[in-house]
Amino acid sequence: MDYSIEGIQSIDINNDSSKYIDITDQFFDVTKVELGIGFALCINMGWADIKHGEIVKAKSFSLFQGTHALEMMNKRLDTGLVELSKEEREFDVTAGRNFDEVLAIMNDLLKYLMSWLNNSSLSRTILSCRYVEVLLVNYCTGNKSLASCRFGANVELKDDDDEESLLIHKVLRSFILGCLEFVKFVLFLGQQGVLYEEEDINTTSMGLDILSKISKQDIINELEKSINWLQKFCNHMNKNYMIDLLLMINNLIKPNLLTITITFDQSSSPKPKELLFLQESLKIAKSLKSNKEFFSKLPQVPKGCLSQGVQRRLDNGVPLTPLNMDPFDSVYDSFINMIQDILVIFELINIQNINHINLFIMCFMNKREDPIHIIARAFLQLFYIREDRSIMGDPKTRIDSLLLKDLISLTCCDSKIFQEYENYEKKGSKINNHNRIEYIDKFLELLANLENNYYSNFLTISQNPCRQRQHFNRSILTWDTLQVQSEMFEQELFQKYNINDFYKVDGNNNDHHQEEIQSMPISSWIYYHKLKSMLEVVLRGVELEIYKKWELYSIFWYSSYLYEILIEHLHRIQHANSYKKNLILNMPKKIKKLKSGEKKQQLKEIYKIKSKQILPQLIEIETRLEQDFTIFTILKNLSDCEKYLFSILDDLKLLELPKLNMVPESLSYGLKMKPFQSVGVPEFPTFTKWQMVKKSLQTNVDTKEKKLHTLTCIKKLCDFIKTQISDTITKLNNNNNNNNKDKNENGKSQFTDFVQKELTLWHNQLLRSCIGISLTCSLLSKQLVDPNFQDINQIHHKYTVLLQRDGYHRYFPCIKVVENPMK
Amino acid sequence: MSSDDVDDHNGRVIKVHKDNDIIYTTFEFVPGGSKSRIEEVNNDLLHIMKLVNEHLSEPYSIYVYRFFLNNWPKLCHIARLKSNNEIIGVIISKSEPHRNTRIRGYLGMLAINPTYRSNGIAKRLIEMNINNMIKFYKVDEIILEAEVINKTALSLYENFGFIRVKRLFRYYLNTHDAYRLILPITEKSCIRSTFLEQLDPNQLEDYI
Ligand SMILES: CC(C)(COP(=O)(O)OP(=O)(O)OC[C@H]1O[C@@H](n2cnc3c(N)ncnc32)[C@H](O)[C@@H]1OP(=O)(O)O)[C@@H](O)C(=O)NCCC(=O)NCCS
Repeated sequence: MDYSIEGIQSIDINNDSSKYIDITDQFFDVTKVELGIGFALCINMGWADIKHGEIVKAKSFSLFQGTHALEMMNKRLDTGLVELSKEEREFDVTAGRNFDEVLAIMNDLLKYLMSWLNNSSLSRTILSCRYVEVLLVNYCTGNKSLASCRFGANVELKDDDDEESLLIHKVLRSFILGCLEFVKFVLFLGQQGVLYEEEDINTTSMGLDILSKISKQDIINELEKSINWLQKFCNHMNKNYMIDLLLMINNLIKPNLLTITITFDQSSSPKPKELLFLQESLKIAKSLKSNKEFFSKLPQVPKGCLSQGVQRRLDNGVPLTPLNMDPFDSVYDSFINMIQDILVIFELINIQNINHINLFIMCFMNKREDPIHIIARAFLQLFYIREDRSIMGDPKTRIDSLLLKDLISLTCCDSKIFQEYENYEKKGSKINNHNRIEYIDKFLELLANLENNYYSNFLTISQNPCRQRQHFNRSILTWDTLQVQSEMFEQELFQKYNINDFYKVDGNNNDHHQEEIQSMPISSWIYYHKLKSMLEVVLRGVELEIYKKWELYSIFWYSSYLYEILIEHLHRIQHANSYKKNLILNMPKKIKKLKSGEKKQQLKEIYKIKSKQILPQLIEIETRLEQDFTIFTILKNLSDCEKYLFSILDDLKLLELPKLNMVPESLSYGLKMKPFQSVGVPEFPTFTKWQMVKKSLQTNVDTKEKKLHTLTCIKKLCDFIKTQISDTITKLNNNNNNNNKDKNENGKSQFTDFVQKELTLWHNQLLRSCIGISLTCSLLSKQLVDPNFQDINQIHHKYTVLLQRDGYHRYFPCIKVVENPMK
Repeated sequence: MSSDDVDDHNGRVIKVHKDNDIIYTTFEFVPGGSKSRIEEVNNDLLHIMKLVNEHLSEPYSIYVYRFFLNNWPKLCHIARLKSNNEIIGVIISKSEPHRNTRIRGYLGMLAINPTYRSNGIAKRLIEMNINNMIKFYKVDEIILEAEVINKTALSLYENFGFIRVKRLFRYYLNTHDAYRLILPITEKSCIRSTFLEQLDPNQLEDYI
């Protein structure tokens, strides 16, 4: 065998015979008889009794497992083959280094740290620094004490020792410890299951324990000692840069962010002191960033200091990968963003209303421009829902009570079902004892199921956009099941015990007869969320460019259809809500009519409670519903614009299907609509239904005149949407101005700066899409009268449809009909 | 699959007369045989590996090839030049039950020698491969992954009727997102597996 390969040469088998056993002979022996020895592959082995191409393996071992093996001697896979330079092999981590060299190493370590978080791995970044590797290996093989975190023999350092030596063994060491403390925090976030390994982050640490036994305080002490030493003993003119780097890391790791609690329903919690550290770190980062010039003049780090060698030496399950260091600017930008994004989360201190918190989270999840830093994403999730399922650490608010608040804040306010539950607790229920238990059990079971789904919704906070869509896709199923369960429950309550929430609307006849309609508050809440999840799947599909242009026609039709249903549903919720509100408002009249007595007194009491506690909630719901109406109508109208525009393109044969298409259109349609196929309500539109819809849409655009007319209508609709959006933006701005002046009674405001900014951006982008669509209509109107457009059968040869996304809202790309460059 | 040479479509292409100059066959890896036959097969396998390795960014070990070739010999197709037998294109797939409810073909690797691209070779290989999946394995659907930036591959597959069903965040080592594409073959492909009957265990062996 060829022993010239570096690495193999360096293993001294004789030195540690207990650890390595030579099995070469046995291996060749067993492969001659057909025994299961795991997996031996012998393409080129002429010497064994194994037939060419035959695979010898144990029954229990599948070839699939084999695919995870790293193939030896394969240059792309065998990290043992990496060749190291002399400097890399002989790099001395114990030697003293001059100031500039040490500062350059620290600068690179920071770059590595942030590059790691930008979708790299520890082995390609921070662990590839020899100092980090040696320190961690010593810690892991030593007694895992602070003293074992060192580069060489344990030297007692005195403040007046050789400066170059102190720069390494004191300053650089503490900086590395600080960085690793942060790595430890990130790994903790990673272990909580809120991030996706390899998509969001890479947490493999090459089998190294990242200082799990060292306390944060110890590391802070080491950093502070270094800072003191530099301040007192180091005379280097640029020492402030070094001190700043140490301070920046120190302030980053110092705060115990996950212990901060924010109490719901209480006046503004004070800004926690912990945040001051982050603000300090941020300030230093900004000032260091402005000194790019200085850092760019530093010498290169000593040769051999950063190396792929670690991928060869330590536990490594992935192919050899090059080192990965982002440039100075992007490193500091991402450091700054990370802290700013974390600080934004603490704007939650200023909100208390559940709807506004939900809005905050929604904005956070949907931020696409300068996406939220991965660490802040993971952090918000863990900060918001703690391990004990409490919300932001508030012991009084857990996910179950949050769910109740949420139910109440839309459909379940003052509902009979909830009253019954409260009565049960007060033992005053009208259901008899036996049945009561049955009822309570069912109610609690339903709530528990709801809670699980509700909880899993929050898990999307930390997810990347692709995962979020998949979550919504799965949640359609669970919402659907829950809706069935809750409808049965609410029906049963009505039929068996006459516990029923209803509202009255005017009947069809002119006889002042009012029709009673069951409002089914819980089912209604679920349906609302189910429809929203369905829409998320559809529209995020547009965002992620899942749909090709020939698919978008039906997709926009479907989203318009779903919005229509959602808006109808909102109307029902609104009716139920006003009915409840009017009942309370009409109580004084009723009371007046009653003769004095016990009954009158009772009613007065009830009125007092309801007008004080319930009425404000109902009014708040009214406001929320109005906001929902506005935004849903805007989105429905925009979907309609796209739908009508696509109907014209379809009639012009511009939405051509793939050429070789091996599958019937009905199957493509079925697969695309698979997420919704099982949904009972709203009824799933089959392919035949879609064909019918398409046909009827086509009859509106099958002549040039009709097309021109439709385009005019779309433009009118666009004008209407534009005013809707502008009004909303104005309202948003007014809202916040008022907020700043007089916060609501608890001193908490409605929208935080962040929410305000994101909502405005969101609406502005909708506005852009609207303007874009309108312009397309004008253009298309001109094109339609162009001689080139006269022969319907020729148009698709000469023209093609382009989707423009940049600058438009991500759900509503702008469509352009342009000359086909290929033809 | 992800590709290293997405934009590799310049003046270097050679036009060939499709049917006359190229032979399309399955590459069935049959163990044993005469010494010269063994050498030939080894040589072919090395060529296949080289072709894939050079044009797909994900590094595959020999074990990955053997996993595919040994288990699904009918799902590896190659294109050779008639003149010198050189392998200029390869496609490697597999077929397995998915959640025990439907049979799912998976198109694992596809690469064409850059010199011979845009001759419809990939199209031809895919067609043969898909047909074998349907004929021998009765697949309900065929899936694959392609990088968002690999426009050539995407349009190639989408022309067959593959549709995108999800986007995979940073799917590849090189940080790009990918799409999961599916070609539906039967109605089963359009129904969530939760609502499909479990496959008959006795018949399962026919499928895999
Ligand atoms: C993708 C690849 C397999 C295509 O091979 P090919 O033999 O050149 O493809 P074909 O000649 O059969 O072309 C078939 C279709 O691909 C598309 N296509 C081919 N070349 C294209 C190009 N330069 N630009 C855009 N589309 C192109 C077209 O849709 C074409 O159909 P058409 O000719 O009817 O328009 C080849 O480029 C390759 O090996 N790439 C590197 C590896 C890779 O990306 N594999 C797929 C990973 S998922």
